[in-house]
Amino acid sequence: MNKPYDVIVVGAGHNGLVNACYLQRSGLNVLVVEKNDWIGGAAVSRELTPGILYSNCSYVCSLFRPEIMRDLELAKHGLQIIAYEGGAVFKQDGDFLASYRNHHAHRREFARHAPRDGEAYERYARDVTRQCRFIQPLLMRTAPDPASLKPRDLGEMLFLLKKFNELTAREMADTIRFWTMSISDFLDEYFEAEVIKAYLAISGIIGTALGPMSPGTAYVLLHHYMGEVDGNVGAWGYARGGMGAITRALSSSFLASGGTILTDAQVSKVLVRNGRTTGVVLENGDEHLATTVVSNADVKRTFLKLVEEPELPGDFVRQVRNFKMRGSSGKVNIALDSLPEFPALPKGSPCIRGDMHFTDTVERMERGYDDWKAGTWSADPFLDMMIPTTIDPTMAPPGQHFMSCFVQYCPPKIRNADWTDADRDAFGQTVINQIADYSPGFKDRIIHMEVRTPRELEAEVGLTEGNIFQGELTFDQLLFNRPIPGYAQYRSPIAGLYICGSSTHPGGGVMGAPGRNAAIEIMRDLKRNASHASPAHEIL
Amino acid sequence: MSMKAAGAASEFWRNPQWKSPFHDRIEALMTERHWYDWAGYAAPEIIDDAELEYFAIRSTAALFDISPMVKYSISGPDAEQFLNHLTLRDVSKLKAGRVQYTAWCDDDGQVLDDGTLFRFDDSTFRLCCQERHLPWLMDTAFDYDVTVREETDEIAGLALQGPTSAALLRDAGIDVSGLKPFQIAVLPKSLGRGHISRTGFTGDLGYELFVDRKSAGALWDHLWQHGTLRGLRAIGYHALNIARIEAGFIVANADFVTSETALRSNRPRLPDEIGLDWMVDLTKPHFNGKRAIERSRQSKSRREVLVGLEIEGNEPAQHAIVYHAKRREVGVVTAGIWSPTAKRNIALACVDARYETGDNLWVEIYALRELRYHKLMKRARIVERPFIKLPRRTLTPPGDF
Amino acid sequence: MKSFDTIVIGAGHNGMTAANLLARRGQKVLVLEASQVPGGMATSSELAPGYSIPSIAHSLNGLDDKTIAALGLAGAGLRFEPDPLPTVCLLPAADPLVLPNGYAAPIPGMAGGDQKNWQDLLGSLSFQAAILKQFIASTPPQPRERSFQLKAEGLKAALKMKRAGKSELREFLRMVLMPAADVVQEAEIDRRLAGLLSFDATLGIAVGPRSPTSILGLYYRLATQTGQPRVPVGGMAAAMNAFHQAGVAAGAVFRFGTPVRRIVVDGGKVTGVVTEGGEEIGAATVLSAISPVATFGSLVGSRVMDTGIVRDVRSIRTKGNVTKLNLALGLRPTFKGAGNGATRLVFAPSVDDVERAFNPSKYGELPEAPCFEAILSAAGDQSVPAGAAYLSVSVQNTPYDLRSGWKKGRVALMKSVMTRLEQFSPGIAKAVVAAETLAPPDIEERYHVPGGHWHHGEWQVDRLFFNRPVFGAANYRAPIEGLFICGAGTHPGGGVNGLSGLNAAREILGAVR
Repeated sequence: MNKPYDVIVVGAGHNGLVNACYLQRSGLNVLVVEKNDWIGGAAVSRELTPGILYSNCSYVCSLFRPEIMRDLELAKHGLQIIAYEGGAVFKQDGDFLASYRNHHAHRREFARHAPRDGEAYERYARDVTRQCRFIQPLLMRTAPDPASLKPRDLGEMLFLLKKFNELTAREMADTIRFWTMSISDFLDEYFEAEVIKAYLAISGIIGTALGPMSPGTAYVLLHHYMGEVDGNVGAWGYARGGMGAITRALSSSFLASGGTILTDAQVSKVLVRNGRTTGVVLENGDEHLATTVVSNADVKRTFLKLVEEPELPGDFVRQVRNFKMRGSSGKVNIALDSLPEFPALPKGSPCIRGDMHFTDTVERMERGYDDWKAGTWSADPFLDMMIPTTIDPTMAPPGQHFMSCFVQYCPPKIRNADWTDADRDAFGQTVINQIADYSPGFKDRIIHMEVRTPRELEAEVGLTEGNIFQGELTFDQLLFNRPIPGYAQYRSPIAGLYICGSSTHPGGGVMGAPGRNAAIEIMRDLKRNASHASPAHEIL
Repeated sequence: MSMKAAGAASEFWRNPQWKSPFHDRIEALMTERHWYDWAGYAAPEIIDDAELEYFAIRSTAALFDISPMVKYSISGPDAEQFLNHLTLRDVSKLKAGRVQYTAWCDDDGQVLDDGTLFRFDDSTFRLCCQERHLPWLMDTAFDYDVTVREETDEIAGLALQGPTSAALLRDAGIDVSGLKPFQIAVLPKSLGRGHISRTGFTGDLGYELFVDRKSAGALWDHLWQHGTLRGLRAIGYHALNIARIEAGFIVANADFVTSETALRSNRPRLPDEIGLDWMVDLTKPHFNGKRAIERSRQSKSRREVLVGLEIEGNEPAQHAIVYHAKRREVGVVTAGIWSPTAKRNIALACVDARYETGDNLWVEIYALRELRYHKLMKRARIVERPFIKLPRRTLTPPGDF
Repeated sequence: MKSFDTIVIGAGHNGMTAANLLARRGQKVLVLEASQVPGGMATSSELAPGYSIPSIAHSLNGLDDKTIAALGLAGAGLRFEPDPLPTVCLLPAADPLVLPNGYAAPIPGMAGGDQKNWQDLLGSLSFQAAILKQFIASTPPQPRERSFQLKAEGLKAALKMKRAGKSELREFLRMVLMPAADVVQEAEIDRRLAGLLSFDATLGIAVGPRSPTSILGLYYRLATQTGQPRVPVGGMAAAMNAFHQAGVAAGAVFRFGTPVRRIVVDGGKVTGVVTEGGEEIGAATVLSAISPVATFGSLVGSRVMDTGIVRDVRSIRTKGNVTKLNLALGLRPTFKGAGNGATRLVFAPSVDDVERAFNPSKYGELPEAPCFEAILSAAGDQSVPAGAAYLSVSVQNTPYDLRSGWKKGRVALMKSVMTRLEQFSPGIAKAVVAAETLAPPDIEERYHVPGGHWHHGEWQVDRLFFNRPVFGAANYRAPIEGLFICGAGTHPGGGVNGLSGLNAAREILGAVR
């Protein structure tokens, strides 16, 4: 029998580690158990071919909350973020749309495609920023239960209403529209050029099982824009050394404060006695005891796999089953022996050091989504492609490069059947072919590649159906509905069992907020001082 | 599929700050190397010596590059009606060959920008302003037979300001003796295709010249050549800003927040709130914001006023808080300087409309002196703008200085 | 110049409803209608000698008894067929599923478990729709408004939820913007019923059942439908004549064949209208019951409006998605499951079928297997010759901007629907005496509705309540003094229910008081 801990965190993903760090720093004795022999969950850098590090799951850093970075001293623990430069959409006619960091260069490039659009971007940026300013304060707060009459819920509801009440009538009307519109309709109200709409629509669909024409995708945009609101310089960037650098810094911070991490330790069950958790039992039979268990796994994995069904109310289990995961994306990670060329780009263009795309119309994206709905990967997929080694040479030997391709759409199952290796290879080939269309000789540069469909994401990282956000970001699964109405405050029907992954409010993106918010709730229940968790930055 | 590069036209990242047609000439004169960004162009803050530059405006002649100003060409049979719909003043009263200082608002009557409207003939206009409005202009033009085109990069502009400017122009072969304030004349053909108008942003005698981009260099050289005996100096924005505050002119997104750029919805202002009430012509046909402005006047919902302040002492009050009775915060100074001409400490300020009588107003100035703040609470008095009124500004024919 | 208190433009059901109510309150009301008959899109027309067929709308589901009484419609001759309208779900290679009376359970021949799931789902949907209904039958609450009315409605809705309990409230807040497909999937209802609900939720709206928010279409149906679906005796034309007669009885003056050219605005105030014939008629109040895009774009003109609202109006998504096929049949065709009464036939076999039919419409293409509903006239219906019948078909997902052009599209669509009908009623094609295809561009032209949209503009969340038709004109008031608007383009939307006419009339009476 192992010595008991105060808290066991299941899963060493970024949210699990953030949660563990805060709890350990409140004086609790915390054990993190991780099934893999490496830590990081979906925020990892792995050397899959000699000398080349892969950010093989998540690939950019934008939303990680600066408050958490500061509280957990991540800079001291080695985290370096490098802002990335620009981006591009390659058009089928040989031209391209660039996105530049400089405001005027950006405007002129937009105006090159449509004079009006160059100037329309200002109003668009203002309107989106207004929405971000409205929503951002909600990220670092526990969502209130609107059906509860507890003073704290009423207080938080009041906060929500107050935020809403600060808006003018016009802003309220616009906010309702923004939250419910499709990104395609939203962009139509600002822009003329198809390629500009295609470029901006990307943020509305990344990671979601919806198309750019689906209502509700304008809101998803915010999940990718929020990083930049509070003057967060360099909010969008690469972590030096790959995404694993984030979880490495977190684990270093955690260990420095006295925490314990156990890898190669797959939890088979969360132990429950009389409606209370008592710890976990591992696959190898080891038991670890604790009166508090926090699961970084998604809501389905936690309650349908790690907890015995009889321990949970039937209605709750039904709602967990109904929670929509719906993996929609895959990942193709490629090691290259040299930097690929994109002849469409002018020599020296910074776009190669940013995110690149080949989908130049909203219609192509939407058709890709139709393929997904029909149960297969997109024949003409949407790629979010970057080459982090262009600004972070630490990830590969000199001259060689790591390329990350996030691919949408890619279903969890192929027409209701499991993925086969042949399917996976064909999917990978679709992606490679698309790149090669714009980059002559591309295929010859490939040293190694890894194709990850939702099957691999689920098997390796444990994301049910390979959903990168641990659950869809649709209205029915946001705020007080995330993951389950009545259980949106990180607690579960089992006393002492909490969840802290992206299945909880405010959801996915490597943000760290769910882990932090959950820690605050746990410290509240355990009557711990939580003053080391700084409140969200004020937005003036 | 073609994979060739789209060409140099799209290499905007290389030089995001563009060079005005006068850039090389200004750079050659520059000793301070103090550039700032004006709407995507490198513009001089100080060229050589800010004080000498200021006195060139008020005592001799000053040349200021206004090429980066955003310019829209508006033409077509309905141009006048379109502009009447767009702007606050009555454009039908603007005769061909004249300029109107004007402003335009959104549906809520909140000011989108102010600017100058040039009427070249019945159906050809140019609108010059600070912010960019192409979508708004095009959406307003929807039902009018009018063409709106952005022409900022095509047209070079120079402001020639100061007491000797008219004489300088005469020496340079441009006769402005009969040109009244806000009047336009065609430039001699030898100088390129362009216009000269008796306008400016200094409150002094002065002119603005606009030519096509390719004639710009020659125009500068021509003026420069005739400027030697007239004390001509190239100036940067620092000097111009002092002159414009003395003249009581406001600058968009410095003295008021334009409604299409504001992140905070309570920041934009009605014309009545920034001293532009005199522009609003309720007798002309429908124009944008009319209903909202009428309603606000009926309900007396004006929240703020923009006023000129004279502040005791000589410490500039830039961005200082305005108090009533030293206690209640009632506004903010948007621009404050020690006026070298009026020899007064002057400021533009946004003040809660309830305090527009100006009784018992105070300004708190934090003056940093060798790492220590001197917190000054100074009495402020609301005064008429402009802070200095120079007869030579409007005298026609202009005096020979 | 003649002068009225209020001029109503358009004698559709909403215009006639408003005119009726205003006249009852003592106003001098003139209704101007472009066509020769009342009813707008909700009337019948003669397709072939002796065949009077519903032009666009073909049932009167939304008109409630309160409205009927308030307008005196019964006195003006409005009658309903006594039998409920059954719904027959046509299923390929299987027997149809018959719902004898709208959604009302039980459904004959359905297993107990499915029956229960169906009833449970209807129970929660009806409860949720009832909450929304509070806000449908009145002027939409304006943001930042703190009126008594709003408080009362909010309180009523809150009380309703409070009474229902915590879990219902939570369920409402979760479900209200869900995709219809997810709702039916969670409820585990019979897949045929799932197909029907997906179809009903999305008919007339450019969404598929898997689009988030598509459940709202179903809420709207439930909230505006009172009791059983109804078919008026004598068809839609008779119903609209009743609206007309009731209006005349109330004192309103109707002029048909009198299109309006423009609404006269002087100094920011409405002073009347000018007809196409050039006649100027004065009124301090004008209520336009036609499409808001037509009202602002053509009758008012952007020159007297601010740019912001012009921009908003131009962003209304007006392109229709439903084509009407009208078939005059020499013989009444037999469909398995359909009796002698009027019958609603629906072809929407499963959620996936409805979703698949939606996909191509996003790109201006026609679905391969279009979903549709059709009303088959009752045996002995007086609006057709003895022994004959009509079939009034609404085909979903047929986009206004058909890339291949509607010239070919009309033929192709008619062919594909006829082929489908042949499967269920062999020989029906031979019985066709006359047929017409009214694609969205045809509806646009015939009914002067830009885009030919049933709802005059997309009925999606971003254009509902205080955003319908646009912010700034959402309380039936245009931003021009004396100008009011009603009709499908305004809150709460389309459907033959007269609600926007009622609400707008109340606003006018409130304003003049």
